[in-house]
Amino acid sequence: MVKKLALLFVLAAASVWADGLSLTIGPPVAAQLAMPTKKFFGIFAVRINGCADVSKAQLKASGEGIVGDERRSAPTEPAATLTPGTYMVSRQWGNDGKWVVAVSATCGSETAGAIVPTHLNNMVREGIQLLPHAPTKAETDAALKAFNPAQ
Amino acid sequence: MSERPKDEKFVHDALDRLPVVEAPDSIWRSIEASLDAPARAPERRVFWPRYRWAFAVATAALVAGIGLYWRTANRPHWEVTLTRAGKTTQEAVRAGDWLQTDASSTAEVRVGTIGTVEVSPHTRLRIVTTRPDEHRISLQHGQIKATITAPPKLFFVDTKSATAVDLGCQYTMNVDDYGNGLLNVTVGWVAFEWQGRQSLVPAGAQCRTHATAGPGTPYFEDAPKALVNALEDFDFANGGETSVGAILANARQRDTLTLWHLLSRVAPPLRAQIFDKMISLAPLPKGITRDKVLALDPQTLETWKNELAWTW
Repeated sequence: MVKKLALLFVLAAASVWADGLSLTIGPPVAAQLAMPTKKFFGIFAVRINGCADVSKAQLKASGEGIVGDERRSAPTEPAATLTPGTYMVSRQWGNDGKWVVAVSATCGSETAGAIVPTHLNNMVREGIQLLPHAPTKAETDAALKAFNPAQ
Repeated sequence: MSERPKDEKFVHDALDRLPVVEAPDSIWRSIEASLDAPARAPERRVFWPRYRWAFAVATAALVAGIGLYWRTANRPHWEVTLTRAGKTTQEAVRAGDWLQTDASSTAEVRVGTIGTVEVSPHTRLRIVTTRPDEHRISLQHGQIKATITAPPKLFFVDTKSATAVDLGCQYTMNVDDYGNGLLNVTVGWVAFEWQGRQSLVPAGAQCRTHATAGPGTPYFEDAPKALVNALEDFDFANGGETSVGAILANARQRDTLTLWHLLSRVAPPLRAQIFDKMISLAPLPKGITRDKVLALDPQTLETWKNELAWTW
């Protein structure tokens, strides 16, 4: 009986995790109505999908840019919204150069990531990469190199 | 002892020799008045007895004036920075005040502690309410840019044909004397409302309003021109089915914003066509069913809109 229950539990867990951890990236308006007061401004919203307990999920983001010939990093702390598992990412760097944001999420032992090109206060939807892991430095550099924002 | 009786006799004799004369009437009246006096209440001494009512009225007016001044001085107000020909001045405006700019002037209004309103040239507006739970202006004509960082539904802009309800946002709004205008949202959301009709306008989108029809259907700024023209016909020129056909033919994925609004503004046969177009542009999320959408179930439509927003 115990073995059967354990098997059922494993099967149920497998179905829950079948989709795996993933991220949805959207414009700020997707999360804005769930933002606490005075934190409406952001460049994009992130939603963590496929996490059984989003209260234990972690999200990190870092602006990765090239200004002139200099490679720069600018960590930015995603702001949690009132909707569990949904965050707003804001810009922590200046107007110069070109920038992408490397996003990584963990839920238990799983990770997922995304690279989001940005232009000033907007994300550039066409260049978004959704990854089944945290972005590597090589992936981020390649995305930066390929990204040519409209001036 | 012998001298005194002699003097008394002399006086008595002298008195006998005096003639008897009747006292004048005035003396008797005076005596009678004196006799009556103890029976009457003592007369009060009042300063300026003739002007006591005027004094009372003046005092009341003074008290009322002080009260009115105190109330006015302590009434919530907004600070205004007026710029005219490069020179700036500070003013305070209160509910009921008008603010007007001309060709060479602009103004910036600090809306309590919740944000600012930039007033463009040739604009006239009235401050309607300055309460902490409701900040409201009436835009007669011209253009304003509002930046509000407050919980939703604290800041309102009335026009003749629509009210813009802030949902945490930044937007510009212009309107003419007749009530025709355009709302353009740059951050967040604005609800554009009039007589039970509501258009929800997110950042990057805009919405026209017309004096006789109220707010139209919102669309993204980069929407195809053909879609925008067809929408104008649908909203304000009775374009009907022909317009909807043109809208559907030109809609892109993010134009589901426009299509979502149209669902509740058309008859059921057209509603089904719009639904089919929408799910061809963005997959139907879990929990959203065709039947509930076509029945305009409010919770279903709200959930679907929130999901669609991730694709805009």
